[in-house]
Amino acid sequence: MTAVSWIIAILDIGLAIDAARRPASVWAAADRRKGFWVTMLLILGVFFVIPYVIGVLPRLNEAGRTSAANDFQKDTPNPFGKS
Amino acid sequence: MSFNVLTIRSGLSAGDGALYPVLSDTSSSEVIALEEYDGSNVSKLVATAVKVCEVREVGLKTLLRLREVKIDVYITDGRLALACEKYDKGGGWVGFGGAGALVAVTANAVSKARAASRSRGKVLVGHIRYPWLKSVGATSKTGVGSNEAIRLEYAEKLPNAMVRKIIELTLPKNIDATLVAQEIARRAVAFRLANYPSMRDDERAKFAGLSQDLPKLQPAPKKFAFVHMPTYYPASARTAYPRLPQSETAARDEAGKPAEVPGPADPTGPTEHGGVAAVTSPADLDVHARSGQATKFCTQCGIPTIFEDNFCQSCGAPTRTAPAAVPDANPESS
Repeated sequence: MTAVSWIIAILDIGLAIDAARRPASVWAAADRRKGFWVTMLLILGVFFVIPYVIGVLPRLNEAGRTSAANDFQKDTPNPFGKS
Repeated sequence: MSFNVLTIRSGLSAGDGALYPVLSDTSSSEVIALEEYDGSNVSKLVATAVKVCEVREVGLKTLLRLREVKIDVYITDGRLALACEKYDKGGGWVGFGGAGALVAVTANAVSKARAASRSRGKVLVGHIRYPWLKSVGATSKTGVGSNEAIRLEYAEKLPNAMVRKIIELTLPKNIDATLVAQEIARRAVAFRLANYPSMRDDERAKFAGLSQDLPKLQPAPKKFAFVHMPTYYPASARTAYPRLPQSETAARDEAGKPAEVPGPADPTGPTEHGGVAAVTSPADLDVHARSGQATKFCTQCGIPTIFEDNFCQSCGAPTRTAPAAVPDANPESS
């Protein structure tokens, strides 16, 4: 495996982990399907890195900014929070 | 005519906002236009699916279902509103093999382009105003096959019957649906207490009790737990806004704020507005019984339920229909 292949593989896995760690509400707000993109990045990362970086990542970042203060997330401390 | 809680609106249709949300103009970042009753504290979240069902004796009949879409949900001080800009997504073609995949990719691209063209400038909108809210429930994700979801129950008054319907919203799995449902219930109770000064004392006491001690929703796996409003109004344009005193209505009209829906000149009761009486809680069932409407009672604890509830709200046991005269057999009920 060449150095370029290693770089692409590491980039794929890094993006897939980043995608998997983003909350479902952010994916919903970005109007993209989490399962599809995480799977595709892991299996066919070579083909899906560029579409992900161009078409999905900016939407996720934007949605993450606007929904960061969501009061209803499960890990948000509040009087009704799950113990 | 039957009331569909969801409708498609375009930017060109400047309709009344009583039954459906009005779209905002381009200066606003929100999809729908907020009104005075919405207040300034609007919680916004995203739902991924919506379902409208009719409650029947044998269960729920699905009237409408939309999945894998982005639905903006607004929880305001006066209503729960929702808007979906891409309700028509197209696609769905699947191909096998190299040639099949190529055909599917092309067909999906064409289908999505046509869908985008069809729905351009149109938005699927709907709202449940808090006076219409009969109950709000939630279920939690407990594993594969379950989701975080909320249900809002409302009723529609037809000439010869009361039809109960629910709107169910599926939420992302990191959102706690019970918190959402409790927030809706809290706001609904506050809205009723703040905007219905002519409410009966017992009705007010029930709302006040709910306001002070809102029950924590703890749904069983794959079941919904509900908070029931003591009273509610059938969904219609006449019940969309609280009825205000005449002087206040005139003042609000002058200020260019939403005008009240005119009601009868002589309201027949203190809890009526727009000529429509609030539907009462089980404790007031003797009113229904006296009016000749059949009621149901729990087979275990004997508590009466209203309309077509098939299960007791207290113990969960099945209910059975009793003759309208039964409650009147108790001398204390008349």
